[in-house]
Amino acid sequence: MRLAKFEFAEPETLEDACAVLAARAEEAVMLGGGTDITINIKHRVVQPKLVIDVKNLRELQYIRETDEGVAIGAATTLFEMLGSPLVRERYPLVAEAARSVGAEHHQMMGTVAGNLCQNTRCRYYNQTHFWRKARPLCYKACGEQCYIANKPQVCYATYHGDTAPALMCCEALLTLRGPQGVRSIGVGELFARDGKAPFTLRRGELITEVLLPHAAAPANGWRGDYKKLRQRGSIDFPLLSVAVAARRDGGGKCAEARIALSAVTSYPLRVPKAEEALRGTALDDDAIAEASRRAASADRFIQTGFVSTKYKKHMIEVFVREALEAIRREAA
Amino acid sequence: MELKKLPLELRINGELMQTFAYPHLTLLEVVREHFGLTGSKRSCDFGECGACTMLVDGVPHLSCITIARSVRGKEITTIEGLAWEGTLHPVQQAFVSLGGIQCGFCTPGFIMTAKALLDRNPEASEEEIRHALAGNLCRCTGYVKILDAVLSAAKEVQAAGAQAAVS
Repeated sequence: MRLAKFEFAEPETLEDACAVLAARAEEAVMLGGGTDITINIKHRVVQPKLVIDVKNLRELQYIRETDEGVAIGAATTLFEMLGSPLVRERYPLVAEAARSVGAEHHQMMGTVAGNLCQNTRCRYYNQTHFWRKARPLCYKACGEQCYIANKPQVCYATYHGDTAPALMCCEALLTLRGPQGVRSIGVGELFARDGKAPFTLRRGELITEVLLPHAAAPANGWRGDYKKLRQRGSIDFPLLSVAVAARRDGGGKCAEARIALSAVTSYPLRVPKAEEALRGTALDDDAIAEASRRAASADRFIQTGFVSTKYKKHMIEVFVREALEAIRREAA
Repeated sequence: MELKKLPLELRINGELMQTFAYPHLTLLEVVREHFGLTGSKRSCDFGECGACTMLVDGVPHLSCITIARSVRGKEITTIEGLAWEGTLHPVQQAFVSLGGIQCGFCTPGFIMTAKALLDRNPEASEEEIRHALAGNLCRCTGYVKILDAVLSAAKEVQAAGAQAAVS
C-alpha cells in the first residue's frame, strides 16, 4: 500500500525543526522511527501535508548523566537506550519495557519520544481505508460515531505504549520545546485522557529530552518489574502491560510503591489506591493481594481490542501480584 | 496539493545511486521500482513481517515503513550486496546448505537480520538469535532449519574471525 502524498522537511538543526513545526503545526506530523506514523499514513487515518524528519537531528541523539539523572535525547532509538549501561544498570525497569517493544527491528527504528507519542489504537480505527469504507468513519477518524461505545462524539481508543508505564514508575520528566519556549513536565502529564487527541502537547511543541531522575535508581532502594501480555511473544502490541516499582526502608517495610498500567484505556495510568495498600507493609501476601485487587478495579475499562475487559482485569491482578512477589524476592 | 519529484541520492551496497522520486515513497519502493533491486520483498507492507529488511548503517530497518528521504547519506545494504565476487556470504551459504529456505519469500529478510546480528555479535547465543529473528515471519519452515542455518553461520563467522586474528 502506498503512503498518502506529503511534503517532506529535512531540518538540519533542532531550531529549524521547531521553526517549521511552529509555522505549519496543524498540517504537520513529526517522523521519528516511523513504526507507528507511517502505518497510519498508509491506512489513511492520518493524512499530513508535511512530514518533518526529526530522527536525524544529531542534537537529539544522546544518553548522558547530569546532576538530576540520566538524560536521553528524544531521537535516541529504543535499542540504543536499552543497550546503554547507564540505563540498563540504573533503570532496569525502563530497559525491560523498551526490550519488550515490538521486535528488535522496531526497537532499532523506534525512538524514545516516538514510543511515548504513539497514537491510540482501536479495532475500528487501525484498519485499511478499504475496510473502513464499509460504514461511516468513526469519531477518531473525523466521523461522528464511536462504534466501540455506540455513542457520538466520544473516543475510547486505547493507548498501547510499552515504555510509558515504566517511565511513570520512575517519575521521569520530559523537556518540551515550542514557540513559547522550553518547559518540563512529568511523563504522566503528557497524556490528555482523550482517545481522539491523546497528548497535551501545545501547538508546535515537541519532546526534546526524557530525564530519568537519580531518585528512581536501585541505588536509592527502588526495585521494579515489568510484565506484558501479548498474543504472540515476538512482535505484538501489549494487550496489557504493567510496571511496578517499590522502595523499601531500612526496616524492610515498603516506604513507597508505584504501579502503572498501559493498554487498558486511552492513557497510561498510575493506581494510587493500590500503591497506598502497600505503604508501610512488609510486602506480605495479604498486602500484595489487596494491592493487586485494587489495581484490577482501577477504572472502568471498555473493550477496544479483541480481549475482554474481564480477562484484562484478571490479568492485571495476576501481573501486579507476580511483579510484587518478584520485587519481594529480589529485595530479600 | 501539487507535489514534485525531487532528486534523491542513496548509497546502496556501496554504490551511489540517483533518481527523481516523490517524497512520500518508501525505501522499499525506491529500491525495488527505481533501482531494480528486487531481492528485498514486499510482503505485509505494514512493518510486521520483516521480509523487506534492509540494513541502514548496519542496523536492520523495515524498508516498507521507512521513508526513502529519511535515510539519505546513510549506507544501505540490501540482499544483493552480500555476495562478493560470486561467493555467497556465510549466512546465505548456511541457508542453502541446511535448507533454511522453502518458498524463499521471507529469506532475504531473515538473512539481512541474521547478518546484522552476527556483525554486531558473532558469538550470539541461540536465545539471542531467536530474539533477533522474532520480527521476521516465515509461514513455511517452522523456523527450525532457519535457526540451524544461523547457528551454523555463526560458527563459520567465528572461525573466520579467529583465523583473521591468527594471521
